[in-house]
Amino acid sequence: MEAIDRLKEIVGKDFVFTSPEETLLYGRDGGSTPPRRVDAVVIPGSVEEVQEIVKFASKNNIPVTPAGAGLTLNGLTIPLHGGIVVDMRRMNRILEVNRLSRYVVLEAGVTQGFLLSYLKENHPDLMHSIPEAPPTATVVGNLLIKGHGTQAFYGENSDMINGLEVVLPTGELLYTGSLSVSKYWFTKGPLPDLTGLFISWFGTTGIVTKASLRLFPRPAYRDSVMFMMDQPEYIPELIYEITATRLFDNIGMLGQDLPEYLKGHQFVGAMISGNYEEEIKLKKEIISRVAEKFGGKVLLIPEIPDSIKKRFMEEPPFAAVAADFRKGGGFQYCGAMIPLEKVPEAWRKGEEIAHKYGFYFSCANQVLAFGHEVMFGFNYSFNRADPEEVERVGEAMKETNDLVLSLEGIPWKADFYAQQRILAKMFPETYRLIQKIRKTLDPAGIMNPGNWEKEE
Amino acid sequence: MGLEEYREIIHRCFRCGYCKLTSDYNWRGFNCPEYNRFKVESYSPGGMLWLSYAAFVTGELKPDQHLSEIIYSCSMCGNCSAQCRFKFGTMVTEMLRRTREEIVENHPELIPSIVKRFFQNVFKYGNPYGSVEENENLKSEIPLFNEQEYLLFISPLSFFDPLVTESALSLIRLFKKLNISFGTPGYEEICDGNEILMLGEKYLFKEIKKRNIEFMHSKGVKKIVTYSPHTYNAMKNYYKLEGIEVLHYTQLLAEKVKKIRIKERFDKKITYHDPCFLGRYNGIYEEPRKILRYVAEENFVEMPRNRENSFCCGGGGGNFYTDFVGGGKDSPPRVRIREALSTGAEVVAVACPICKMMLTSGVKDEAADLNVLDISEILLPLL
Repeated sequence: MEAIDRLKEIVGKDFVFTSPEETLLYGRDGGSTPPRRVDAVVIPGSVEEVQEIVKFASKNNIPVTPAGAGLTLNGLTIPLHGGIVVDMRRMNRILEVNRLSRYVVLEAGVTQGFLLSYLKENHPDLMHSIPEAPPTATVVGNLLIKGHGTQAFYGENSDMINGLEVVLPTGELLYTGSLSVSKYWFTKGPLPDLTGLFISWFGTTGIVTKASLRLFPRPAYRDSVMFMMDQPEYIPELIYEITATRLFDNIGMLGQDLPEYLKGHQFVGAMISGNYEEEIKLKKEIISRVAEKFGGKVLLIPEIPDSIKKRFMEEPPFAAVAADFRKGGGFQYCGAMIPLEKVPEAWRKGEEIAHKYGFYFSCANQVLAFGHEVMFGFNYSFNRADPEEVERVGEAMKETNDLVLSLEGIPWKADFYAQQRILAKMFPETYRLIQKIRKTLDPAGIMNPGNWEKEE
Repeated sequence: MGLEEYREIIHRCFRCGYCKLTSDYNWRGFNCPEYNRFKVESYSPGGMLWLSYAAFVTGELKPDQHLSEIIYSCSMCGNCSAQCRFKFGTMVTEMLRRTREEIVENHPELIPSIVKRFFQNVFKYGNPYGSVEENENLKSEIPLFNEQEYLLFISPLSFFDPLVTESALSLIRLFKKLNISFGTPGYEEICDGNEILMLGEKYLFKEIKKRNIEFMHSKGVKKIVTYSPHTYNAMKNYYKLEGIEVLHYTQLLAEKVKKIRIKERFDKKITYHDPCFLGRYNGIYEEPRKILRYVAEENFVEMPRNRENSFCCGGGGGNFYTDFVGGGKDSPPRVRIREALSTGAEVVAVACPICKMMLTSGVKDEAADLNVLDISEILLPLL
């Protein structure tokens, strides 16, 4: 109780929650990760409060798990060892937009939807790279898991970070990027890159409280060109040719068993944009010509069905539609970073795994940069009311993660099982350095413990 | 019935959270008033559905009074159903209402005491507050129904809250000035039952409905006009009245507005707050605006969150009485008043007694230089 009283002193009594009906939802998500215990949910309103929480937890060896909207679906914000979940969504201010240098500085609780709407209203000529996550997902959460979005042409969203403000596991404040030297937070800087210490570390190295993120010109028009085929073997060359045009914003791929008429086909959509109608027309024409190189095996879809168009073109894209295929409230996906050339094999084997475990096949993939990597998302929509089905999806996820590693890919947003498999395959000195860094930054070992460490 | 009908659906939400926002994801804040107030997931629509599932379907969570208070904190504003992107979305608000029915029917020990008092007072006195002391001022001005064209329900809240009394009197005076043929049940008026239904007591709702319908039939009523959107919602959608037309007063005024001669235009900057049971529940968005645009012309401004994206005052679902949402900087009426102030408005127009009570409390708590006036109070002095 003393610990709870101290937390209430720090953030105020209205923002510490300890009853089962208040903590239960932080110990489970929409995926198949088994529910776990959460001792307290704390919702800080300032960086000073975050510092005090961490100092207190560090002194008392209490595990701390930072959380945004908890939408990773792979249990990354579900504490493996109980303790405190720090829900960052009360820190939700957009602090600065620098129009000319095109960046925004925001707090960790700002959601994708709020940033999108804020920019549309106040800076209609600017946009961020909008991920496929629901608009309630936090911007910072997405940056820290190496998310990606509508401007994938420029790379992953984490590549667009100019710098971070971080509360270290011992409570000190750190700035990465140019703010550590300059009052402008416009670049990661020609400095030793510390930002990477917090990306894909799943909160084990500190709590990010602010980020500076690059913005891009918002085009006046957006459109898409959609290709269809029935053999995924054509995909790598198709992507290579589309990216060679240099005319796209991002490229998505889609395959699913439902609705029935989509089954067995692969769809590749190139999203384009421009400031003039003629520009859009020309881009469409040039990208469409790519189909001609495939001797009728890759078809151009003249009229894109509304459902597919919405899936790709909405801001944010309505990817969550796949979650309800099974109409059971359960959804998890193994997102995997794989080399472009491995897409056909991932597609075929992913289909086999889904069917083997009795699920509809559904994949949603995104090309990053110019095909330098592909995020291949193996989706599982399931009925969370059926324990047998939940277990089955867990098994399917494990087999999918194993498939990804066998294809020389790496599971993205790796759940606990996938982390263990990655670490088992990892070059030993790389693993040792990761542990040394963690121990240096977090001597008490309080930050999201159990993640990125081998199970004993 | 409780949750029975929804046992196979209630787990279908995977908590993507569209239900917390407006359709344009307005950056001013979450559009679920309870989540915006408490900031913890349990108070979000998806959170409540998951808790309801864990407590009343799988039994993983032992239901207790606190859970019940969380479930009862929902103002039933309907934003979740309006914003959910999935086909079951239209059922989300109803599932939350059914969770309350589940509590009332199968776990009566969990009904919060203030909700019980609401039920008991409505059963005994016909309103949530208790025995009625007649207000001579109001009484002298209320024409009783006696075969006039319209039966006007002014809401029993008019008998208790001076702010509502003022608006009800204003509406009565306005109707008289406009030569609308109307009468009221006078002090015989009882609660419409809308909040009883929203609080999950469907049997008491049936009783209230029966009493009101008997009154209508005994008087030979053909047309009803209501002051409160809550009354409108109950009578229009749940009373199944055959041969009786039900209107909200803004619909009636909007029909006549072009023929109303006003001495002068309303000279203050004015905005309008959509009541949930008029807007999201019944799609009546334009009629109040038609009146306000007529009287205020370019002085009428919209709040950033309006129509189906309107932010609830927090008083629905019985919360104007039970107050499970509570006060504080992020209480719904204070948030809404700050939003109104951001438009530069000097007046917030409302068309609902509960919104008037809630938003007026928001004005006081924010120490804002702003008036909350019913549309009738804006129109009447201009005639």
